[in-house]
Amino acid sequence: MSIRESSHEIRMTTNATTNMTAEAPAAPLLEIRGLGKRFPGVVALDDVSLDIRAGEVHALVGQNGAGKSTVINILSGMLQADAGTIRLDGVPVAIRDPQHALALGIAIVYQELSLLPNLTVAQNLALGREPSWRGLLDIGAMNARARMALGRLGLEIAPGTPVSRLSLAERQMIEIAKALASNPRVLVLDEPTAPLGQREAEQLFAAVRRLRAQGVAIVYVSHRFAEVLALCDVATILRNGRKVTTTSLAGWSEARLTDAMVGAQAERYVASARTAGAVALAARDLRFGHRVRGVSLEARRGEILALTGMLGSGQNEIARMMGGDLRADAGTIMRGDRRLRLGGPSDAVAAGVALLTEERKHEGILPNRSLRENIAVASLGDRGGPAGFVRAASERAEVRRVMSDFGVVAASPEVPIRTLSGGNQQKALIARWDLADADVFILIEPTRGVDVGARADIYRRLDALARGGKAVVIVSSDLPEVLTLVDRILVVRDGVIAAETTPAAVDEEKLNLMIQGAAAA
Amino acid sequence: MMALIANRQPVDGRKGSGLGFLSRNPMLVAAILLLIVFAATAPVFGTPGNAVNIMRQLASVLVLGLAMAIVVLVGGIDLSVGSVVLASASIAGIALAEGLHPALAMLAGIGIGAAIGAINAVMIEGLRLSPVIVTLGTMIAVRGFSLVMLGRYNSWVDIKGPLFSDLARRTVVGLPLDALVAFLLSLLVWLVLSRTMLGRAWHAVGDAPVAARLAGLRVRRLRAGAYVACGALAGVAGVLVAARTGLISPSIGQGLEFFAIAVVALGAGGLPAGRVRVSQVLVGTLILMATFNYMTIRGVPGTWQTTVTGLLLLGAMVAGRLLQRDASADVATGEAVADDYAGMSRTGAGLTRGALALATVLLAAVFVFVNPRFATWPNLVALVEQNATLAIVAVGAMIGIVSRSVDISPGSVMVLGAVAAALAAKAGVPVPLSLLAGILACLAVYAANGAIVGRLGLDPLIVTLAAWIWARGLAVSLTGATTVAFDMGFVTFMNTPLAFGFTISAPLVALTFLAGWIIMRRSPLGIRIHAVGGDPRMLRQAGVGEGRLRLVILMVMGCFTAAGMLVMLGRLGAAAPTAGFGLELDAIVAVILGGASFRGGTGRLRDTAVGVLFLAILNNGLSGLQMGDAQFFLIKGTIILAALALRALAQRYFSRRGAAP
Repeated sequence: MSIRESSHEIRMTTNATTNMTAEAPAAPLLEIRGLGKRFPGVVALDDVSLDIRAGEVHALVGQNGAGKSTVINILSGMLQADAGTIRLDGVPVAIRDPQHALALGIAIVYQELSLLPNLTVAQNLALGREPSWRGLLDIGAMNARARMALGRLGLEIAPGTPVSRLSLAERQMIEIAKALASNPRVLVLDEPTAPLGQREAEQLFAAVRRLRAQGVAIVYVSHRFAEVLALCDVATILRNGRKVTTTSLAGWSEARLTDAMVGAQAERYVASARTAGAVALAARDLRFGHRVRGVSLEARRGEILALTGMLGSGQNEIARMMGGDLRADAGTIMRGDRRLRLGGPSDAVAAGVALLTEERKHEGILPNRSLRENIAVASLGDRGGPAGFVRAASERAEVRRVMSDFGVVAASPEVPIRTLSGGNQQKALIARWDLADADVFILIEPTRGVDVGARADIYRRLDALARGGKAVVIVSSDLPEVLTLVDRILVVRDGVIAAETTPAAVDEEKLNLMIQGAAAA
Repeated sequence: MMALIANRQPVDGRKGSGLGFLSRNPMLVAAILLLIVFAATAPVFGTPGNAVNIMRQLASVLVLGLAMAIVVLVGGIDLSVGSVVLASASIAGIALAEGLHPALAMLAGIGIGAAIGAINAVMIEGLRLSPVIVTLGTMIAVRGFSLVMLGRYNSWVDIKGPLFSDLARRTVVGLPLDALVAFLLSLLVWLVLSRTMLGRAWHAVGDAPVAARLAGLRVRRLRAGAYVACGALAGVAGVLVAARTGLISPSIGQGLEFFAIAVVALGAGGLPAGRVRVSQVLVGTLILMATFNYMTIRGVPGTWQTTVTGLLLLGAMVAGRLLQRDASADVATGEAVADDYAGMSRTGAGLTRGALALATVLLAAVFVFVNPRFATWPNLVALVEQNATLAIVAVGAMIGIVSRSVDISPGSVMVLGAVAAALAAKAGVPVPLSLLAGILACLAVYAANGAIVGRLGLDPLIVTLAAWIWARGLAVSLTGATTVAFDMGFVTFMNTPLAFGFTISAPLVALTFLAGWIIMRRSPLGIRIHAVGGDPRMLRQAGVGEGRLRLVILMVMGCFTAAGMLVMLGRLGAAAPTAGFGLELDAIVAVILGGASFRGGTGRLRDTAVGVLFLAILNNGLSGLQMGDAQFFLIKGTIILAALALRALAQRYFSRRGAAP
């Protein structure tokens, strides 16, 4: 409850500044009209319009897949819109590529860090625009420029420090400094506080306010509503690729934002019909650097368990340790009575534990191999004939069987898997592990990059697996997914399990608050 | 719906007409066209007798191609196969000479191949060193080992024995027996690759190693197995060579690694991990051997074979890239996983650095102990003079490694430049202009490589691999494999002591390091060199074109190679087409021993200097012991591999927690 109050106080103070800036409603610096973008099978953006003004912090709010990243990617020139116009200072512009965006004065700070750890802060800031004197690097000018950029954000970091020595939060700030180096008029911040703790986030807010005062137009994307309310003047809410509304945030609460974002949700599927059985996999006091600091959990047969949390809270590392991909610094993983010693994923697979990561393209599929080989790869040994030959007929039959079991749609099992849609690839990967007779399924972001139709299909398959007596663990930051799919929710915060709940006991807003707990407290 | 339609396309292609088949096998089309052109322009070419001729020559190259195909399939490369052929042939010959049964002699040859493959496998997969460095090292060490063995038999061993003579002379339905063996092996390898669990796993590992690992495959073990299989097959090729030549001499196997790589690349249009097929190796072998045969018919000297091989290799890769630009990135030349100081704790990095310095001092101490003349002033001067070329090239190699543009061609390009200069001078061109011609020859090769790398986005390692082959070949071809003397005035100038016995080489080395330091630390280019080696995507975000930058970097490296060429020409007083053999390995090893990561982005010039010093002491100390080439190669190769292994172990021990294996 104190969360609410504190955020309320912050809001009161920001409303004052909002009013001040709102006194003179200037013409919009960036005018976006009727923006549309389609991908095969998905409408990512449909007729979205928004105005961004100088000296304003404009929040972009929406669930995963609502279209926020598509807007950002179009602004950065990474994607080209199918429909709509963008005007900068009243002049229509077609943003060709990231360089063009920079030249126009639009700078983006992405979620993934784009700094080179092997270079110093000053070198990173100078890259591509190195000051030189008669062909030699003008180190004095380079450092001075860096000091100025850092000073603008109120940072005290020596320009000669290698980036590899900086903390995540410091790197995030350098990232912003780098974006500022080109003197942009529009600065887009994509989840800038995700890796930051409370104090560092405050530092960042101060910097953002300073930039606003300097007349920069700021687009701010965040899942943390408390900070959106504290920092932003205006918000545009997106849902399923469409704009819900653009509104001044005066008088808004987190609850109201959540409602607007989620909308009238589709019917809630309650997972009451599944009953949890024996413990299939148990972790005790897992530790991994400072990312995971003592986590214990149990995955039971017949249930779907979710790990959820803010980006980078440690939930991915927990899953990867249980799947053998990361080696835990400390802690034990028990499979029944047996302690697993995981030297690598092969050991986990041998113990019946399967891991599907969020990086399907790089860590899941064998892109150029056929669908059949992709499904069969984890269970090759089960169909070994004499002299190590693969029993081809039985393989074809079994692959066909699991393909139909898991609804994998393809012209033939022989097409390269890279030609399939994301949803079909994901179903094929789940089928891979079912064919390998895995007992525990660990899936990180199981529906990332999957279209809506396939999504429901994947939920049904996971449900069927659990009902069939398998233990299913998902790591997901997609709250509707967590709430519809699972039986039990573990909220991971700062590398520990902060809370345990069930979908029946919470709604999306409440879960969101539990996830954000530390940040808002 | 859209997904369904998209899915159908490749299947249509598969079921399509013969045209579709041909467009998916461009190299087969090229082979057929080539054969038609050859037959049309040289009537002898198309006769059955000539076909048998080609078959006779093809057996060992085909088997070596299969060996190389297996390691390329899993995302590696093996440059030691030529030396393995020599080792296998020598051991088989020696076994015969010692009165062993021919079958046992053959097994001994194959066994030594597998054993060398296993050494490669342990170094590459166990210690996570780059396959290029490791197999360049075994290439040299194994050649030395074989020559030492042969040396005990006066360097010539006759092959006499029933099975061996059968291989060479018998024919089965008109087909030479050794060719038949090679074809049967192709069938066997095809069966293994396409029908067995092992073949499936190898394909998976080559296609997507990370995904294969998460699918439960033991990636490192599987890749290690591929190196052993490659070694065993190279051993078979050695036995075939022994049978065919009937006489084991020290020149056997030289350059065969070139042919093996070329055969794979000619068939597959590159070295694509996860996507090499046996049929492609057959096509590639056919192209290469038919070309050699045609050259012989047209009276082209045999010295041109290597040049043509290298150029065909380059052409195949460029063509392959142009034809399938959309294909996913190939050539995972197996970057080591954690081999740099950046991944280590600070104390660990310091200790490892100290260990290299200590090893250098210890090495010097050993030489002082065994050779009283080692620690004398004249020898110190000689040490610097002997290794001036290496030191200069190492600075270029350092830039290459930091920018992830690893160059294995400097030794060959340098020789080509020297030959160009010497031939120009011989033709009456004034000395300064001749030197300029030599410098321009070096720069031209680098410009061509840089343009190909920049434009097509091909891996610099592969492009310079082609230059490694063709530039050396061209040097040999142009001189007819003889040494060409250079102007005495220049040679005298380069060898006149200036002060304390040092010639101009010493200040040139100092100047090169200074230039390297300015480029790396005091120029805008230096930042970009580090950036492109760290993560080229960041560079693109910063608005720097990667293609042009790669060209610039390779041109800069070309300048260092050209400088090295001048020093070498001055020291030798002549252009010897065989000079500079193994220089590329020395240069790369100096940088890697100095702690730079083969993955790029990190490396310090002072550490490289220590690495150069280590190798300089090794070179000088060994040559001071008055040993032959054989012992020199053996000991040097072994010490280099041992030093790399120790460094890898130290790094693993000190590597930071949390780095995923």
